Amino acid sequence: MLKSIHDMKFVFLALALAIFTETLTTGTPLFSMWDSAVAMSVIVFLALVTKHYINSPLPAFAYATLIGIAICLPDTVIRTFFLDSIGKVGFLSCCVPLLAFAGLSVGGKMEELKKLSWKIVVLFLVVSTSCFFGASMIAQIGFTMKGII
Amino acid sequence: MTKKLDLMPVIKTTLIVMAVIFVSQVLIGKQVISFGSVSIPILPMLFAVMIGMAISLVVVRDKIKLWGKVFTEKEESFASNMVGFSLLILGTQYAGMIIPNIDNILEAGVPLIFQELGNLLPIFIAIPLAVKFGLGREAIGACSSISREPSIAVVQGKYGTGTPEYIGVLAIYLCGSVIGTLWFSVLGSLGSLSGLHPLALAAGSGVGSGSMLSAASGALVSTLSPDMAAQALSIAAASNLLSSVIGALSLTFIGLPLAEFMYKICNKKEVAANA
Repeated sequence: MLKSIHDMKFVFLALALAIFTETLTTGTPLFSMWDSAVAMSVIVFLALVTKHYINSPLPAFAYATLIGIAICLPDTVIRTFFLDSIGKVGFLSCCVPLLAFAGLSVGGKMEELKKLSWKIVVLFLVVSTSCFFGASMIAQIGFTMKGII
Repeated sequence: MTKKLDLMPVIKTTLIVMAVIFVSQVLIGKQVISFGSVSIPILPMLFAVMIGMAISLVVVRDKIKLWGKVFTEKEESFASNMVGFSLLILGTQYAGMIIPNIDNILEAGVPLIFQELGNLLPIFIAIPLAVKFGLGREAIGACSSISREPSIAVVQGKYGTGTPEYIGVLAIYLCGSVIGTLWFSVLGSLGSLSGLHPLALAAGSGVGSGSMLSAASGALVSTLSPDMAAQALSIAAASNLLSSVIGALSLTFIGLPLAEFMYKICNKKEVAANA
C-alpha cells in the first residue's frame, strides 16, 4: 500500500506530461483537464494496489485496463464521468511522453546491442515481423469468418 | 520501502522529456512520406523515440561533455522507470477505448484467442534462418516467440538459467527492448500496405510488450477515422491482454515442442548439406 502511494508521485508526473502534450497538440487549456487527471489517477492507484495484492503474469498496465473496464461496465454516472474525462486526453498524447522516455532509457544500452552479433538483430527483425503479420493474418481470417470485417 | 527521493534526476529528466516532446510534437509535427499513391505517416511519437535514443547514446554523451554531465546513468534509469508509469496511464486509455466497443471485442474474442497461433509463425521462418546463421540451440529460445517477459520465464523454467536456449531468448529480449518500440512503429505504419484489414493489423499490434503495443497501434490508427481508430485500439489492447494471458501457455505446450522439432529438421538438413 505504502509503495503504491509512493509510486503515485511518478504517476502524477507521467499524467502531467501527457496533459502537457495534449495542450501542445490541440491547445486544450491545461487546467480544463483536471477531471481527466482525477479519473486516470484513481484507476491507476487501484491498479497498483491490486497488482500488489494479486500478483500474476499480467503487466501492471493491463491491471489498469481491466480495472478501468470494471469501473465503467455498469451504466452509471461514474461510467459517463470516467469515459468523458479519459477521452479528453488523446491516446497519442499519452504515447508521446511514453516513447520519449522509452527512447531515453535505451540509447545507453546500444553498446550492449553492438556486442551481440548483427545476426541476432536480423533474427529479432524476422521474429517480430513474422509474429506481427502471423497474428494479423489469423485475425483477418477469424474476423472475416465471424463477419466482423 | 520508501527511500528518500533524489530530486535532481527527476527534474532534469522531466525537463529533457518536455523538450523532446516540444521538438517532436510542435517543431517537427506529423510528417508524411509519399511514394506515388502510397503515403506513410510518420508520427511525432516516432520522432520522440528517435530523438530520445540519439541523445542518450553513449557516443553522444562522451562527445558532448556538458550533456554527458547532465544526462547520466541516474537520469537514464529514472527514464526507464517512467516508461512503466506512463504505461499505466496508457492502460486507462485502453479501458476508455474498450468500454464503448465492448460488444465488438466480445464478438472478436474467439478469433483473438486463435490469433495466438499466428505467433508461431517465426518458428517456421526464423529457426531455419538461425540455423543457417550457425546458431545452435540458442535458436530454440530466440525464435519460438517474440521473447518478452513471459517467454523468458517459460524458457528459464524449462531449460534453466545459462543454457543456450536461455541465452537465445535473452538476446532477442534485449534487441526488442532497444529497437522494438522503433520497429513496431514502423510495422504499424507499413502494415496497411499488406492489404490486411486495419482491425486485423490491430490484433497483430498486441503481440509484444506494452511500448510495442502503443507504438504499433498508435501508428496504425493515425490514418483511420475516429470511429475505426477507437475500434482498432480496443482490439489491439484486447489482443495484448490475451497475449499476456495465453502467451505463456501456448509457448509451453505448442511453441517450444514445435521449435524443438523444427530445429531438429533444419539441423539435419544443414549437416546433410555440409557433408
